[in-house]
Amino acid sequence: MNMNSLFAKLGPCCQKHKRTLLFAVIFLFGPLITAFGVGYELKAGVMKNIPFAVLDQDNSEFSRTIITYVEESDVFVLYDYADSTSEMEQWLKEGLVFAGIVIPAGLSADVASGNAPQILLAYDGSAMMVASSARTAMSEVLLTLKAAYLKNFYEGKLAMVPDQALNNALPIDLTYRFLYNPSKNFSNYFLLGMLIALLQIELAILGVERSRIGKQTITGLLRKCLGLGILGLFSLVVFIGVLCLWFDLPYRGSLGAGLVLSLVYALCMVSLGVLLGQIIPDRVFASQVTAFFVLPSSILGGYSFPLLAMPDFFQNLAAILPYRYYGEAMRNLCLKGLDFSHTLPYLKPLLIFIIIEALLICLVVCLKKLVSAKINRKAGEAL
Amino acid sequence: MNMNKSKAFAVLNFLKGIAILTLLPVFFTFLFGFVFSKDYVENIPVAVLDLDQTPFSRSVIDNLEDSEGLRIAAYASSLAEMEELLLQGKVYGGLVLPENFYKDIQRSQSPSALFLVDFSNIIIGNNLVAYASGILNTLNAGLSVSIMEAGEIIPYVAEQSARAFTFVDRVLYDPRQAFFLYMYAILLSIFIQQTYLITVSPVFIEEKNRLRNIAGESGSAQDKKQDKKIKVTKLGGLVLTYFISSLIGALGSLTVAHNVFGFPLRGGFGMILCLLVLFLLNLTAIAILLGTLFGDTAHCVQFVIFLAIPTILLSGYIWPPFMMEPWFSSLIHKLWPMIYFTAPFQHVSLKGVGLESLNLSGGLLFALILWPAACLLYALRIKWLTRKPSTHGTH
Repeated sequence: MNMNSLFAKLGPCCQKHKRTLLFAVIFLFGPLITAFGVGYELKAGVMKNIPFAVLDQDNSEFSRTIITYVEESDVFVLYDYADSTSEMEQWLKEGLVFAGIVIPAGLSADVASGNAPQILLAYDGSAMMVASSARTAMSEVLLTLKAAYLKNFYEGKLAMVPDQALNNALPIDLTYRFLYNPSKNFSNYFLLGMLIALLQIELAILGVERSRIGKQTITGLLRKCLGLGILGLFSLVVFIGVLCLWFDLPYRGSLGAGLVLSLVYALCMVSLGVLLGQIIPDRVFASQVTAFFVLPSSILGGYSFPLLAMPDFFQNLAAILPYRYYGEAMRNLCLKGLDFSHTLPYLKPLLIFIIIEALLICLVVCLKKLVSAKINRKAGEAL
Repeated sequence: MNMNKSKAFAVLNFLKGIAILTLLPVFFTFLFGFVFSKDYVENIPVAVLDLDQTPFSRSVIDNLEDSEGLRIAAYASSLAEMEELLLQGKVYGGLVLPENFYKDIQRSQSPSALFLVDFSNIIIGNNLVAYASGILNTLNAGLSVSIMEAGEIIPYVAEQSARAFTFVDRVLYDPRQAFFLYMYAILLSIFIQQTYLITVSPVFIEEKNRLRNIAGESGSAQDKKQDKKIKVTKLGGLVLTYFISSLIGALGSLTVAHNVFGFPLRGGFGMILCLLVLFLLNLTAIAILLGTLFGDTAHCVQFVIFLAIPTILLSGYIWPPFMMEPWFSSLIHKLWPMIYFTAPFQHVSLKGVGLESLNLSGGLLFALILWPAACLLYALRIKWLTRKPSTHGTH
């Protein structure tokens, strides 16, 4: 077979299946391109090099030590020394810096004489992610510095030996152990859920589109849901695989649980699309309604903004959103390393959703047949 | 009869478009405003493993219990049980007080208190650490003071010395760090973008097909030219109506955000209007581009829906540009106009920055390049299509 005859056969084939091809391109390549794009964007994972400014009104060895401690942390990078608080405020306003340290005059002397002076830390609250990271990091740095100062104080004032001084500076040795995502990698926490949110809308709209094609019988539609669900599973596996292989998203949990959950979730979303496609005859309107119900669930599902922080009404509403279960389950499988039994509380509601959707599809098809039969009977009588 | 039906359909479609543009942004502002209405994450469930079982250890636990941020959901009997609770997501943190905890403090042995934090959700994890630190660091400071007093340093001096120096946090522009104040800029961007592109892109598709059909119709060249002119003028009027409707919707959303949910509007109204108009101009160019690329209205609408999440993620708002590779940051500045609206809008509203601080030139340049390119491609597409036999229908 030469190239000409290949193209001659390919052309009509592509034309015939233009819609399927177009959807495959959007359905498979769209999420992949987004996964690569956003994965690369969030590659760093942990907030670093936050520009900060300093107003050092003390200009002592102690104040310079404080600044050096902050500078040496990975989290901050010194932008410049401000000459006044208004200059620092201007830099914060313009977004040149996201944090500022104001060291008052006489700091060193006041600390030595026990006057407990205050160091002012200013943050740009309009950039919440940056401000939150900056506050946590700054707090860690300055608490460490403070503990070191207290140790020296005990050695000096109370004539303690170093070990004893350290124990008294920190009467309780507080240890924090950060589990599952110890480096607080933002990409590990956020990326998976957002790409699932993208894929769920694609699955639902795939269901809407395909519900009008082929047999409009109950068996035909349910078979379609199953076929599309398997296709959805493939898509989910591919793109989660990309995140794990290219962007170091860990996968510590049961593979079987991940596959089962993904299949059930894909079935759930595709069935929702098929159901809406059967109810709403206009393709454009059906797509818009699907988006109206599915897109907000990426926030209402509590993946990024926790359900704990929402009013009770929305916490209860999340119980009927499939994304709430699948998003959290997949993140926990990736980061916590759950085994299959741990995923059952997520699996059960998804199965219930599928059963309800299947029953509703059957109901809608039956009703449509009844209505159609009535119309045909009336038309026959009129003739 | 068919003409009347088709006219009625067109009118309904037009009204549906107006409704989407004016009402949906307001509706979603109410929805997400209430979702984010609680300022703080509170009552975070934690577990406690008290291996000391002394009045002192119980007082530490009582301090945790009294905190509004934390809620003691379980008392574990072993570390394995606590880890299982964390694994199942029944608690997000756990405090472990070891055996002889109080005795070791009295003997200045500095016993370890372990605080486990589930960081699979960073927001909950950060809040948990903040609450726990506040309580446990205060406890530590109090114990330090006691030790110094035992060393015969007078209480006032002991207290001042234990504090050594304090640091005071001042969070500017949004002191409460309320999630709604942070999220509203990106939410407003997406409300405007999605409603506008879903409504306006199909208009260009339909007009493209109608203009192409005019070429295919019989009739004099003069009449065809006249018909083309009329349709283009109608198109411009329709798009302008949708443009104004979208502005009304955006301003309605802003009104709700400000009056109901306390979103500040510190910058001038004129500034915000400028940003909105520029954003909508850029979106109109994109709508023309989408109208060029798609022949099927449903596919175009679906594509616009798919764009929602990628454009949010690549807007440079959730993850700041200084954290990206320079070439990548430069690329996303050229890809999509949302980056010229979201962050500047946030800066104007929360910080009250003026025109000189905003990079409007980026958005203007985007429009200056995209508009002619989109119009040219649209015209070329129509010309190309008029050479083909016309196929009916766009749905």
